[in-house]
Amino acid sequence: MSENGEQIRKSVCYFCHQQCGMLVHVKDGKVIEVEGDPDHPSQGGKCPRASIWMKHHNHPARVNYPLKRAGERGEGKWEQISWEQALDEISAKLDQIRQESGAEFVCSAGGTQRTHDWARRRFMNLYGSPNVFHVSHVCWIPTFMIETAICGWSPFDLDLPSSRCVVLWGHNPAEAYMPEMRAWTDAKRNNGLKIIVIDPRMTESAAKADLWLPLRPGTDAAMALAWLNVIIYEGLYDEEFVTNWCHGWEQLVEHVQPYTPEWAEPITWVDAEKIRAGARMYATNKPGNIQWGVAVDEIGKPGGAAMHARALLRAVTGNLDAPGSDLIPGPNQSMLTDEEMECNECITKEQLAKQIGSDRYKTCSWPGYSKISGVAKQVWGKSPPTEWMCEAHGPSVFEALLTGKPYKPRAMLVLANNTLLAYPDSRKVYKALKELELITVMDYWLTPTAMLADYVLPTADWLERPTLTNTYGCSDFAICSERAVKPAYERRTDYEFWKGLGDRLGQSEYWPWETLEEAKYYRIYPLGYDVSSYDDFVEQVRFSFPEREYYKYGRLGFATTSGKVELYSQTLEELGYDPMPRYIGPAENEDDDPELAREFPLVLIAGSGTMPYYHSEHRQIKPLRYLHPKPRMQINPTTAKELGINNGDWAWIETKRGKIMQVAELTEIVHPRMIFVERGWWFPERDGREPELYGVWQSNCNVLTSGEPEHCDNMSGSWANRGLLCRVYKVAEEDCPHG
Amino acid sequence: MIKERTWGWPIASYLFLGGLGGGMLVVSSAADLFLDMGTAFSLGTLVAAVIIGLGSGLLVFDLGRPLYFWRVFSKEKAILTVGAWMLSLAIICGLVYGSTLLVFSPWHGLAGLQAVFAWICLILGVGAAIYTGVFLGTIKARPFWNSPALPILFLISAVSTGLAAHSLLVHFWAFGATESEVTIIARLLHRADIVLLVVEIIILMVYVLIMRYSTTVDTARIAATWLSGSKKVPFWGGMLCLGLVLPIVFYLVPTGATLLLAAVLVLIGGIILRFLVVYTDERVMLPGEEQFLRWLPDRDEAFLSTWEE
Amino acid sequence: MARWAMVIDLRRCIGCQACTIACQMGNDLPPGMFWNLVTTVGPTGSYPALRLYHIPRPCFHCADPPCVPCCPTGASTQRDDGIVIVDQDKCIGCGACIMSCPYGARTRNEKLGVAQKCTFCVDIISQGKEPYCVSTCHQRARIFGDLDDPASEVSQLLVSENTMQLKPELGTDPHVYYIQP
Repeated sequence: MSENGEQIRKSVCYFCHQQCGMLVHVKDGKVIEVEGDPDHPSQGGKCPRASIWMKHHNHPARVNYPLKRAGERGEGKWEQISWEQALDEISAKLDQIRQESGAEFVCSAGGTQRTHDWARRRFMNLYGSPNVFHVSHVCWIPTFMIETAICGWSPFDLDLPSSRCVVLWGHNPAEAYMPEMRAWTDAKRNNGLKIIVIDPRMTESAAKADLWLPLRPGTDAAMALAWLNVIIYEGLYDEEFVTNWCHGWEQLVEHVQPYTPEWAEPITWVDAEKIRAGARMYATNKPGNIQWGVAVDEIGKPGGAAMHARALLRAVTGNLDAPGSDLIPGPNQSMLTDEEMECNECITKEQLAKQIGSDRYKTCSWPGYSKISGVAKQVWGKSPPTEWMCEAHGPSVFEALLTGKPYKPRAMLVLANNTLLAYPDSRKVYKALKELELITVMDYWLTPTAMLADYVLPTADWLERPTLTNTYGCSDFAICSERAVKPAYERRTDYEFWKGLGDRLGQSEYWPWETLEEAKYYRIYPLGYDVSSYDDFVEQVRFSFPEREYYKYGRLGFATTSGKVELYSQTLEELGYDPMPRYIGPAENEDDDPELAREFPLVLIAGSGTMPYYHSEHRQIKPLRYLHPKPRMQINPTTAKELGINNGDWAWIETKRGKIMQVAELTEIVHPRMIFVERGWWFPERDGREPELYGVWQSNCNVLTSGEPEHCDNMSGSWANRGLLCRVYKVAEEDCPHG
Repeated sequence: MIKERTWGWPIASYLFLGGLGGGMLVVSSAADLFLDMGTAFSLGTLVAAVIIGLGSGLLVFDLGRPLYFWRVFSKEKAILTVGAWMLSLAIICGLVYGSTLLVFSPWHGLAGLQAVFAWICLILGVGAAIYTGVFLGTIKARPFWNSPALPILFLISAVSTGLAAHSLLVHFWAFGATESEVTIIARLLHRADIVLLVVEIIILMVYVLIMRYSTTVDTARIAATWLSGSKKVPFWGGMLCLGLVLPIVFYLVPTGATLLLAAVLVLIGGIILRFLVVYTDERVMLPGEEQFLRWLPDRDEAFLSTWEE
Repeated sequence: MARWAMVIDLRRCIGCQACTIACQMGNDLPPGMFWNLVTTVGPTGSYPALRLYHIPRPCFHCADPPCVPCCPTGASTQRDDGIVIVDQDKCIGCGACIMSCPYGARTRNEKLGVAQKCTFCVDIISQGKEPYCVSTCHQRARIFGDLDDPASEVSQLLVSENTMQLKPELGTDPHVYYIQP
């Protein structure tokens, strides 16, 4: 498409997961305008982040050239080098480590999938290391794996507008997934959809809900079990479905008997009647959906039980793969999935067994993945990707660096991940990172993590890369988007990074595609369209949505051991876990540890998204920072008054791990005994060198959190950002930051 | 930036200077027309014109585009346009009129010229003193200003400061007047000022109290800042005590020093009044607006100047 | 001749400030300059009986705008289609219009020295596009259209929904209507 030399490229914004469609106007190789794409499922909207594309794309602080550390680690002295030199040296070091110690001594840390993760896994599999990890343990994956174990593939597909009820469980689309929120609002207005929000805070989504269940952070297992109790014992379940399609019905009925709403009330801080009302609303307004949110993946210890119990709700109400309910997509049957691009067959079982953390946390690592995906593959013919679903456990990797057990990794390749802000117990992470011999970071900016690196590599932003949207390789659809402009300066995509290393480490034959477009063309080719290139496909076709098929289980059965929905999970049992969810209290709570609760009497919520940021991004984008210049913690006015804290005062928030300060916002959004802190805060305007590291120790919520085994979910290893105990007190005048 | 004031010290200072200059023109032309004492006020009239000029200079300085100030001389019917024409005329006429009053000027005593300009300056003086009050008084957006009493208050204050300024000038340089004439003139000015100060106290208190007990919650809240809130010290201590009550007391104790001090205090009171008014420019905020502005950064935040874009 | 107006559905607005930023970026405003902003009301009440909503505030392009008669240079005018605009050449930055607006819609652009405000995107609506704040909104909370066209969405919403204006007692008759939350 060109008129007066202007091209319009069909791209997506990748500043978050919604991947909203963008029409990028390009002239003479430069982006001149970005509009929302009305033909994309996002319907043309642009959140504040998409609108600042230019500030991001042209920001003076962007890393534009490969850098090599020139002084001591953290000194901030860099030497600009070429990509060739960087890749030569890094691959040489990786080769050396493999020969001296073993491939498993090299790890890779990734972020929220704004990268081409199949390429990462491809390289690491070929290289021989199983130690790839992201932040998957706190982002959907634990839920995905448990749900896949139970019903054969996580049922995350929606079927609006036939839905009559949605439960936003630990999910705040009004702040984090805006096109989705639009869908709910439209359905509410047009079809009378009922919205139930389960969230400790009066979030934006809760403000629009028909019923809000304000539960104590970390008690989702109790809520879900109580719902099961109500639905089963009030006869609201789908008799036909549980009789014909569920395994373990009688066991479940008996199992949930003690979990009454009255039992759940003191635990969840929600009235029994309200709990009942929620369960009834979901069970009687059918078809209904339970929309996953990260919150339940972030409560640590009780997380697995909560996800498990929540997943069973769909089954007992028959809200699985029926029109209007939660649909089971299965893998994409037509194009090459992420898993098929990962070369998983190239890594040996011996190496996989060395995956750090897999001995304890099995569902999202090799033991669980092999079982769960093995069954899935039998039925679907394809399986979920290993990238995300079969990973090392981040906190365990840091533990290994500090203790040497099971062995001490020597290198970490970090991409799209601000490690010092992304994992629990940041001070521990810091010490662990210092133990590494080699750290490479590929990022837009010199983040606090990049300041500790040996090599910092410049990455392309969403305008400079093509994107294939298919929900972490787990969807049956694909939305293809093209690159708008070539990467500026010497920015490259992560694909070039992995291919560059692979070519130097004897993997050339596995990297036949020069560009991402070629690789993506290879993937979409089996769809059978008459297109000559990936870009051609984007221009002509763009969307590949298969014909919707309901009740697939009628044809295939469920991809589980029994072929039915496993209310009693044999897979989990085989892995050594509870086959049915039982109640587990929050990671730190007053019942299990009254001593701790005396010292730290308030309940902490950390990790939720706040507009206009995304994790630790955008603090250097002035228009966004102007709207939200300081980290804000939310505290109930009653509590603040007791503590002598006024609106706008700096306040310390302290847990057993450490303390940070954020500016107090007195608001009724939180219960008097809850405290909410914002995530991802560092201050790019400050000094990046040690010890300041851009102020990473001042307000970073992960200084407070824990990745200790006693706080993590035993099944998945997901760590606790919410439901921890903390205390709050005012910051003395002389300690307040200036400016 | 959005949090910061649009009108600050330059406007407050202009209101004082414009009012003072206008008031001085009113006093000198009235004295000339009704008491035939024009000559003694010759310097005062010239000074009045200069003061109005200074004030206008501040107005220009405060503009976003000062070099285009001349655009204000348009055919628009806006109060500020009328005001601009009036001020300019006041300066010119004040200079001409003042020069006709000077004993040694060539056109001193020209029949009719002095009288015509006296009337012109009287009208322009009132205009200059009152028009800003009229303008501010019509701004519904700022409830504390929005009153017909504001221009009256400004006019009284302007003439009062005019009287005080003249009494200071006449004391030092009364051309063509004898010692005893000066004493009589001074006494007239002081007595007139006492009357005006009393009237001003009444109008000021009525003004603030009516605002304070307004049924509109926000208006009451804003007015309360003068009586018992953040502005109570400059209001009670500065405006009322120093600027209004003490001068009356000092005027009534007729020693040389106290009379001079009284006049100076009246001038200070005039400044304080204008600053108090201009800095009470609160608009009734929209729901949630105060909170929005409160969380915005200040001008000196580091991140605003760290990166060149 | 059109009569432009906007309807903002407070039931849909989630306070994300996308419109604020889209306006800033589209009109190349310096940081700290807002032609549109979104305020948050609440949560009012006591946990958990709470209410929370947001109010986006562009210029209201009042039918009886106090910011026009006060302009000494004639820079501030109202077009036949109701849009109130500032002629950037004529404006000398005296601030009278800024002080006259009861909604705080106007500010002085520090770089240019002139009074500026939301223009209902006059330059792009003439091309048939929607204002930036309207097209950017994921929730479709802002609807822009012609009041003189009874078939337009704004006209229909004014009939079918319970709408209100802000500070109607001032007699400004804003052309931005809010659907109550």
